[in-house]
Amino acid sequence: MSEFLQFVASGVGQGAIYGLIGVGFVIIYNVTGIINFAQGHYLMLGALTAVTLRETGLPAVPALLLAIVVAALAGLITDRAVINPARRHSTLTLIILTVGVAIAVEGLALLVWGVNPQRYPPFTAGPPLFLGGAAVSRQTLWVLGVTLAIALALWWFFQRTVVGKAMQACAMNRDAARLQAIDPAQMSLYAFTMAAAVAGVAGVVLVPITSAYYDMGVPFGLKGFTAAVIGGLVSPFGALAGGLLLGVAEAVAVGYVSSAMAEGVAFAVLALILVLRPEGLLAQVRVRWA
Amino acid sequence: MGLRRWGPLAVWAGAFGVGVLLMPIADALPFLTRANLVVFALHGIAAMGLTLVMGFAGQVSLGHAAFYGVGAYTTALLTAKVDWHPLLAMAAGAVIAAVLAALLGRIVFRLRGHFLAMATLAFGLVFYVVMRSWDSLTGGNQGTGGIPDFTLGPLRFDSDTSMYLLAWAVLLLGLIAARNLLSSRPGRALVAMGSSEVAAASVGIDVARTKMAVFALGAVYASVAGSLYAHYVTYVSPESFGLLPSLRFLVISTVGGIDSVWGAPLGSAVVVLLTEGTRELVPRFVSGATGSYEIVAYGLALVLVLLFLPRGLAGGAALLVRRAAEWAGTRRQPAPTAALEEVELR
Amino acid sequence: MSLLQVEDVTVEFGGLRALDGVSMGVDAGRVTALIGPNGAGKTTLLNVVSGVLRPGRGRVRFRGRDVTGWPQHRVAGLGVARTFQNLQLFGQMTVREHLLVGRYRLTRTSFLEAVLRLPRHFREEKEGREASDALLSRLGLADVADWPASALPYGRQRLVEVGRALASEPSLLLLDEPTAGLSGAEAEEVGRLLRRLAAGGLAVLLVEHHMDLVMSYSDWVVVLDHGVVIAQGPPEQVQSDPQVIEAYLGEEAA
Repeated sequence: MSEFLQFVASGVGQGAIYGLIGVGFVIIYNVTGIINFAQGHYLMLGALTAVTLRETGLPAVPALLLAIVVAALAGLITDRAVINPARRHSTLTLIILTVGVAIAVEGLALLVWGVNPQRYPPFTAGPPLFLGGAAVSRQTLWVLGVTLAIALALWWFFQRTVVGKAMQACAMNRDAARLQAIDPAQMSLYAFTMAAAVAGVAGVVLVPITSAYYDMGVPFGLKGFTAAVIGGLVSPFGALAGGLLLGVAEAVAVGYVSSAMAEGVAFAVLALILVLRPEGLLAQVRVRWA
Repeated sequence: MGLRRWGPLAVWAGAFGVGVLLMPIADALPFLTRANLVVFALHGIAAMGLTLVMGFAGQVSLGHAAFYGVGAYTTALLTAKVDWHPLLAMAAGAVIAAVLAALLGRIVFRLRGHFLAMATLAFGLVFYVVMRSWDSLTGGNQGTGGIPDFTLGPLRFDSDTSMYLLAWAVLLLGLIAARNLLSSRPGRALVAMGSSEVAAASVGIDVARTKMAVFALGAVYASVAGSLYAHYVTYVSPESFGLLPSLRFLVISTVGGIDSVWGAPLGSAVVVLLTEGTRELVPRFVSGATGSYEIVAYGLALVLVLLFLPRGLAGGAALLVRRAAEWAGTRRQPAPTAALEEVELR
Repeated sequence: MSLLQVEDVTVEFGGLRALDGVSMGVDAGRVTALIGPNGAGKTTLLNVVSGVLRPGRGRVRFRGRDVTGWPQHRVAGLGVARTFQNLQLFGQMTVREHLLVGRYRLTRTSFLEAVLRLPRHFREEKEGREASDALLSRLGLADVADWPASALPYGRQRLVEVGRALASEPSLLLLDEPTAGLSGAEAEEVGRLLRRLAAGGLAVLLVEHHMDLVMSYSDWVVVLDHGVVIAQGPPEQVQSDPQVIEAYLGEEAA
């Protein structure tokens, strides 16, 4: 039992990250109908930028915030420069466009930062804490804390703000929303920027744990997508839950089987869900956005 | 009558000649080698399969390199370990790829749009991970080697030049097959299905079955190319069949133009030029740059083409030809410019 | 016994009954018109007959055979052809190609036979050419045979869709608002075409809004309102049916 608990402890941090990326997928998909293949790359940008900024001597908080801003900007640029001009094109074209963005961003990252992983120290130094017999690193606690904060912020945003409600409206019925003078192009901009910002936050809290490397966009993006799909792609909170589930499943696989298969777990889960239950595992728990 | 009979033959002989001509051109360019030509031809073949799937059946596949891998690994294992004749091994690979594709298609084609794309991506990656982990069969990360040269009777293809000419010939055969297909009953069914599934079904086309069939056909193209690749490099490892190769095929198909079978070789040429070009140029501007940074070029090419030239280069070329024909007055009336509709994803 | 028999068909979407116990028949050699206010369920009925939708209850029989719930392509294979309300042409295909692909159920060339250019391919292509040329002339589309269908004016596009349906040599033709967007003269043309087709033995079921067309060219009229058949019979009889008038007046008032 304690072994299992340890797996949970190890996996829940990664899982929260997957969930945060998944949130971005859900938001963009519901507001625009697009699956943004570059979602994981915003995480990558946040992570790498944080490292660079810290190396310039900037104190932690501004460095991290600035890194998040950079990620958010990337999302904004994606929407303005690529998605918006292609708005009238077919779904196929839009998919490939986001793939193109992802590839281009990855290549740029490679040019700027090179192949070597970039490291960042944990936010608070110190040994792991022991909760219920399982060792939980302090950074993992940061991850969980930040994730909780974001979840609350999202709840507040979608429940309490005009823009948030407008985005929900867009998600439920784009045509009706347009009739209410909600501009889909603007909603799309918000969606991309928000999704990228959240991914940036994920990158920033993640980098002390796994380091940052130029090609982390794809694996994290895929796992984020898996998290979103587990949640049925309907709700950001479903994505968060899906991410946690996935993180734990992964940790269990690594622990009981082998680490080589760990990567395969997410892909296999994704494949299985898409095949068996495209509406997601948590569709029953159809959590509304707020 | 005589000339008409020999017409097509002359055209294809000419096309082969074009391939031959590419060799001195490659030699002349400092950053290109004949090895690049081999890659150009092989990727052209594989991407042609993807073009059939994406362009004519409107289905996205982000895991196409998996079938490339099936061909390569089948050839590797059957020729190196069991001493099969290369052609037989290639055929075996093609059959396995077709069967896998049919099975996968069956499962995955119920999905729509992005989900289909994601599913193909996921399956491609699962394949990659499996190939990497199945040490006993595939040699795992290390891969498997000792693959003999491709032979056809007395002919032995053991140099860049001979492999290139072989690959180019196979590419032309692939083009012929594709054109034969498209100007026939099943080909029209394909195009119809890519346009409007419901209307296609209304004339009796079994959409599900047809999707499976074209997916299998696309897989066969990739597998054949993969088999040739195995003979060429004599050693295969999972790296050549992961996500990046799949994306590369995607870029080739899209940049070349998914509406035309000529798009794949065209796109492949462009991608090779981009790849080698960036490899040549980037180190001059960014010191110490290492790694596969040609992916920047891929990404930019993809985005730019889609935004400004949605039908790809082949489409753009076709448009130019049509405009030129109009201008030269070879048409009795101004040619009706068909509505530039994208191939809709169903 | 009717070529097409619809028996007590019910279709529900969520809580809404699009069709409720609809029974009707279509005979060969006759033009049967399906009319009714908007949202009455006419297209839904066509969708059930052609296999796009499966009814919750009821049966559809074609030549006595139960084809309820059969997928579209199987129904089409029996000789049922249709057009669509929102025009479903094939992108870049030429007019001739549309007619050729319409012959799908009459031909058998496989992928392999096509790629390897085996004899069956050539034989069927030749037959196809001859048949589609004849059909093109009959429909007055010979002059635009090699144009992309999408480049034609709307009225002729509709004609191409009808041509595609006729190319399969069907015994039952389903038309969903074939005259929508057509001028009066063009609509008359369509009406005359339908009469000619019926005279040749074809069973025609069409959804139509042009009342004068319905009155002049159909042999039998079925009136649908809110998913229920409220009247059926010869045009003059239906025209003066008080329930029908009320249904339409109700729509006009709304």
